[in-house]
Amino acid sequence: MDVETDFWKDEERRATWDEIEVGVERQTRPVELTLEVIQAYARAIGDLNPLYFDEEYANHTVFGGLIAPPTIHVPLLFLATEVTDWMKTPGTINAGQNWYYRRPARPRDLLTLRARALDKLYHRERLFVIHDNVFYDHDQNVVCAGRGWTVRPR
Amino acid sequence: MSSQAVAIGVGYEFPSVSVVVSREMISAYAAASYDFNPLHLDEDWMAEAEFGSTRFGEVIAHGLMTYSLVTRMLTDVVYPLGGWHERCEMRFIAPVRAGDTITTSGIVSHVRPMGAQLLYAAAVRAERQDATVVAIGDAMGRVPKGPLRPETHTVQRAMVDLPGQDQ
Repeated sequence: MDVETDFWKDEERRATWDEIEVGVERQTRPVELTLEVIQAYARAIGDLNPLYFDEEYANHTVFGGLIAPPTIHVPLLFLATEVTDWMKTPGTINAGQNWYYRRPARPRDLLTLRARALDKLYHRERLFVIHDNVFYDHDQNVVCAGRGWTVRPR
Repeated sequence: MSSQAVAIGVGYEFPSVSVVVSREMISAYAAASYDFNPLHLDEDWMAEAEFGSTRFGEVIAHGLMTYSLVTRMLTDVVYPLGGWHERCEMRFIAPVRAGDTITTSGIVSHVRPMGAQLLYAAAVRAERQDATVVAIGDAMGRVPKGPLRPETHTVQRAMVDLPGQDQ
């Protein structure tokens, strides 16, 4: 997967707090979730639950097969957004998140992100953006939905 | 967790997850999450960068790494019971740096029968070794009703060390 690891690159092309438009959907691209991405993420959080690694075990659970950890939305968000997306601005600080999980993400799911800024505010000398993120599967069913607060660096 | 019966009810405490955070772990999380924000990777920049009146002085861990550790604490219990982790909300209120030990906690605050399932709400948090709360919030999930025995293949605590952590 083509991924830019240098977040300084294209920094000037990203929207500042003042330029972020509330209610306007961010540009995203569909992501096919791979077992490689799932297992790399699970390992990074030390989560070796067999639901993510052992297909035979997973087949005999209520899930009926391998699934991703709930928080797979973290890599999915960065994979689904463009290099110029303002969430990739260096110095963006995560102040809080909430996520609702409707069904587990699974290997080979083709997921689409719809995301936008919902609100922005100047609070205690900081510039905040409140944003929502909803992942849909290929049938347009919601997989998970979240809202976050970030402190903008500029 | 063991294969002993688990009774989710008000006051139930989820077994905590505790990890020593290292720079290698933060870098590994950046690679796996595709979040390459220099906050987490660029030591030179972070030594000087100012965020309002705050200067961290060094790289900090991703807030969502802490959030993911709290989630892991919950799914370690709920998934082997055939349950579902449904929601988590957290505010990140203090930075986590390399060398910090992060310990999660969760305690069930409310339960409500919901058909064949039990809906629960839990207060969750993560603390540093000095008892500073770094993240705090609430979680919600469902488990089948009744005393429950986890499936045979439960998560082995010895297996859940993070990348870069000394064994």
